[in-house]
Amino acid sequence: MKHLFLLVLLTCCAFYCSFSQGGKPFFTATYEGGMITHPGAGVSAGTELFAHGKIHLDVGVKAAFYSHKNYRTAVYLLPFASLWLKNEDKLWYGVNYGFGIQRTFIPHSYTVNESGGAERLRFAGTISRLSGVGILLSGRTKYDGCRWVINPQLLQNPSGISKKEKYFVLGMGIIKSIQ
Amino acid sequence: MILPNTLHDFKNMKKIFLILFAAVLLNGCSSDVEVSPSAKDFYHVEIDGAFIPVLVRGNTSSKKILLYVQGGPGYPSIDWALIDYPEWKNNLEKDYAVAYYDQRGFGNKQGKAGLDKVTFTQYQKDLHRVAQFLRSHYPGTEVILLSHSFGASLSYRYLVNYKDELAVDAFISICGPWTHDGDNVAEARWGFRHDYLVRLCNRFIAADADVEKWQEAKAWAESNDPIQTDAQMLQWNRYVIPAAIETDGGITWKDYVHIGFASPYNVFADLQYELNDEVTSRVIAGEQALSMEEDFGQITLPTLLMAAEFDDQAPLEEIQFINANIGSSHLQFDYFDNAGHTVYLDKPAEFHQSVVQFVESLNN
Repeated sequence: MKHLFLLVLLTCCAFYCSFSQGGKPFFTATYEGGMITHPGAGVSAGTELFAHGKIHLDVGVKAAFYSHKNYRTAVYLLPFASLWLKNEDKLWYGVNYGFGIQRTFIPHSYTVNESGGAERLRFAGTISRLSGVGILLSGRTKYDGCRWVINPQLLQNPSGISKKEKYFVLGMGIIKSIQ
Repeated sequence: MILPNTLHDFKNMKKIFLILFAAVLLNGCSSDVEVSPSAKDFYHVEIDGAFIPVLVRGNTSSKKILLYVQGGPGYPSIDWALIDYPEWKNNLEKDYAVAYYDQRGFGNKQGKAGLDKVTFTQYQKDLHRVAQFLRSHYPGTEVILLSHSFGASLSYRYLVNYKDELAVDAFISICGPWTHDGDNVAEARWGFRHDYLVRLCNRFIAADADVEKWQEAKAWAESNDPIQTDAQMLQWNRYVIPAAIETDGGITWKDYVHIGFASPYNVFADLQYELNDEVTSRVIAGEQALSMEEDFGQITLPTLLMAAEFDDQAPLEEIQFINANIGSSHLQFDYFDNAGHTVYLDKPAEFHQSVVQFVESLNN
């Protein structure tokens, strides 16, 4: 909970700094494919924090999930920073890094009681910290202020036997600037 | 494409997102189990912090589940089942259901359990809990251990340590050694291996195959009894390895694509080699601290022992020791000539027949 509070505080600070300097807000809507084919979706909102020539630094927060019926459904909140190289009228390239929190829901989960009986567990899963690092590629669409974006990202969470467990998520969707 | 560009639209989009998420979540909740001749049921069993994945596939209406205990240690079972590596989908699973589970520390490794819970003792508890789960979840169903190699070593210890509360009805040991590289069983282990080499020599000399080489090996075996040093063990390996039969299960690129993109596997978690090595070391260390030599008499369940002619990991001589010492009164011993450690691949028809004969004999 402390971790979540800190994330919210830092995100609010970043947004405040950006807006007070007239930064441009944006939001994204993406397909979030865990291992590409474990389907999910995500939305994020962000703002430009810094710009110098073609180099732009954005900050934002993403809420997303992915799901596989026999693996897990994971919901995560990921405040992030994106460093872009924005070529006017051409492709934009960038990298992003985020640090947030994840809740997993492990399906068809049971426990076995002391007398050997199977008991269904509802909402079984874990809450853990989460970091994500990815690359960004974006191009123009025919819609004004709207660009497509591809964001392959490697998520990492530190829970369980598998410390620093990695998970690949392919984000694909749109970025819309809000003027 | 309609793009929301007002706050109102954004709120609507959020609602849609939440509805979609709830639909996916509900989709993950299954109803109560129904038996079927072609079941494919997937579960997670929470045991001391770890969520152990369990796949039950095949004929659950037979009221018999073969609980497969994987060898290695270090080989996940679920991906193995998904690509049908042992090729049981079209034979064994038509007769009975087979339950596959990933041992703790391998596969997707979900949960909060740490490495401190990766022990040989915990592995026995996990096996017990998974068997209990199957019994409870499929009422009236017999659970039969189907254990290969290290899986059989684990099962021997489980059958002894949990003998008063077993959750299984019978036991099939596929080429399951009981010795290991620990000092406490070294004499027995290398005694069996010495006798295996002598048997190989006699077999090939009698068959007039590569006689000179096998005569040399026989002379070496006669002058190196007992085998005790590392140099002797290496030499033993050099003699026996060419005779070993290891049928390849034939993993194709389609299998890799299937596991990578169309299965519940998170390949990044599955293929953490360093971690997998650490898990393997911990489990083996636990196994090596124990000896089954005096304990086979405590195994009284109906048991099928399988041994193969060219199995250098669980030689016939080692399985014969179990056969002579096990406490089971309902005992079947099947020997497969021209087969190796993966007898289910080397002799699939005979393997299938052996399992069916044993399982059907349980009802007599």
